[in-house]
Amino acid sequence: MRSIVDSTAMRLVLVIPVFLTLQLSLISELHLLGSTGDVLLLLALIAAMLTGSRKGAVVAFAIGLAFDLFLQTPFGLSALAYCLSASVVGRLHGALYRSIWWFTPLAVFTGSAGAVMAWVLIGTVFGVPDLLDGRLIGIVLVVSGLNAALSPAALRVMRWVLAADLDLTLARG
Amino acid sequence: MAFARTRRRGRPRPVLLVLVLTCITLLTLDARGWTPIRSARRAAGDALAPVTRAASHVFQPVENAWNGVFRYGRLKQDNEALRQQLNDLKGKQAQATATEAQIKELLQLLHLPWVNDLPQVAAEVIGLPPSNFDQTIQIDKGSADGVAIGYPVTDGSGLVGRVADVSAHRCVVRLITDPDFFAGVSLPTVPELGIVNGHGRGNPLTLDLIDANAALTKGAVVITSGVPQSLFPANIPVGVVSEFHKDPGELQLTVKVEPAADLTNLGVVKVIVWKPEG
Repeated sequence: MRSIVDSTAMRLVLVIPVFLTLQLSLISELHLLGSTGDVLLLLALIAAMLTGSRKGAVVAFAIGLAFDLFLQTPFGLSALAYCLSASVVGRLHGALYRSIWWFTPLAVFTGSAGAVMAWVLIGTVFGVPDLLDGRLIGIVLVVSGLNAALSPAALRVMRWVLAADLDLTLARG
Repeated sequence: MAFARTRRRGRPRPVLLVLVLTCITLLTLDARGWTPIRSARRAAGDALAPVTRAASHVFQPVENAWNGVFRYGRLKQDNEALRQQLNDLKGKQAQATATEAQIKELLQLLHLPWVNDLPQVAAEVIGLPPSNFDQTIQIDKGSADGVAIGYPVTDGSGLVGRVADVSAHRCVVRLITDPDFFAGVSLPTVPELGIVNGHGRGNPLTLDLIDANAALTKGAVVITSGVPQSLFPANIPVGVVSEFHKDPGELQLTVKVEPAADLTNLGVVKVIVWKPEG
C-alpha cells in the first residue's frame, strides 16, 4: 500500500514541474482572443475523472497549490478552485460516464468552464477586483477549448501517473 | 477503460472540507502578508526560472508558428501602423528635443530629477503573465544588478509597471494594468494631478480626480507627476486619454487612458533606479 502511494506521489512530483514549465514557458505565451490556456487545470480535472471525487480533489489541490507558487494572485485561490471543481467533476463523471470518444473532451470543456468561473467567483469573494468583466467569456472559451483539445494527451500522462492507484482499485474489484 | 473500472464510493466530503479549510487558511495568511508564503514563492520562482527560460527558447518556433496562424492579420496591420508612426515621429523628433530641453531646465529649477538622466538597468522579459488573471511579468535582472522593490519599469514608449518582488537574478514586475496598481499623474493642459489605476489585461486604465470642468482633450498625453513622495519620477509617459465624459452630478470626469507601452509585446524593458523620497 505504502509503495503504491509513494509511486503515485513520486510520479506527481515529476509531472507537476513538467506541466508548470509547459504552462510558464509555452502556454502562457500563446494568446487567442487575448487569453491563454491552463494546462494545470486540465491535469487536475483528468485526475478527478480517473480517480474519482476524493482522490481527484487531493491531486487537484496539490496541482493548484503548486501553480499558486508562481502567481501573484492570492495564495491558495487556484488550489481552492481546482479542488472544488475536481470534486464536482469526479462525482459527475463517475455517474454520467459513457464510453464514447468525445465524452472526455466534453467533460473537460465543461469542467474547465466551471473551474474558471469558480476561480473568478471565489477571487471576487476574497477581494480580487475587476475579475467579472467582458473578457471572462473569451477566457472561459479559450481555456475550455484548449483543455478539451489537449485532453487525450493529458489522459495518457495522468494514466501513467496514477497507474498504481488505478491498479489497486482494479484489484479491489 | 480506466474510467469505468475506477468508479468508487468514497467519503469525499470530510477530505474536501479539510482541503477547503486549508485553502481558506492559506488565503487568509497571504492576505495578512505572511512571510513564509512570499519566501516560498520566491524560492519556487528562482528554482524553475532557468528551466522555463531554456524551455522558452526551445518552444520559440511553436510560439512563432502560433502567432503566424492566429495573429497574422494583426501583425500585418501593426506593421503598417508602425511604418506610419515612424514617419510621423521623424517629423516630431526635432520638436520634441527642443521641448525636452525646456522641461529639463524647468525640472532643474524645481530640483526634480529628469527621468532620462536617472540610472537605468536594461532587462529582458523572461516570463509573461502565467495565467489569465495574473498581471505580472518576470525580467532577468535582480538585486545583484541593483534592482530593488518599487523601482519603475518602462519600455521605449512608456511606463510598464513597478518591481513587486526581487531575488538575486530575477524580479517580478506588477504591470500597470493590475487592479492594485496606482500612479500619480499629470496632464499638460489640466492643472490638477490625477491618479491612474489598472483594471486588468486588455482594459484601459482609469484616471481619477480630474475636475469635471477641466479642459481635457482626447489623445492628451498622461505622464507621471513626480511630485514629492511620488512612487515614480516625473515625465514617464503612462498613456493617452482615449475616452472621457462627465456623469450628471459628478464633480470629476470619468476618464479612460490607453497605456503608452504595448504590454502584449514586451521584449526588453528598462528598470529605472529610483526610490521615492522619504
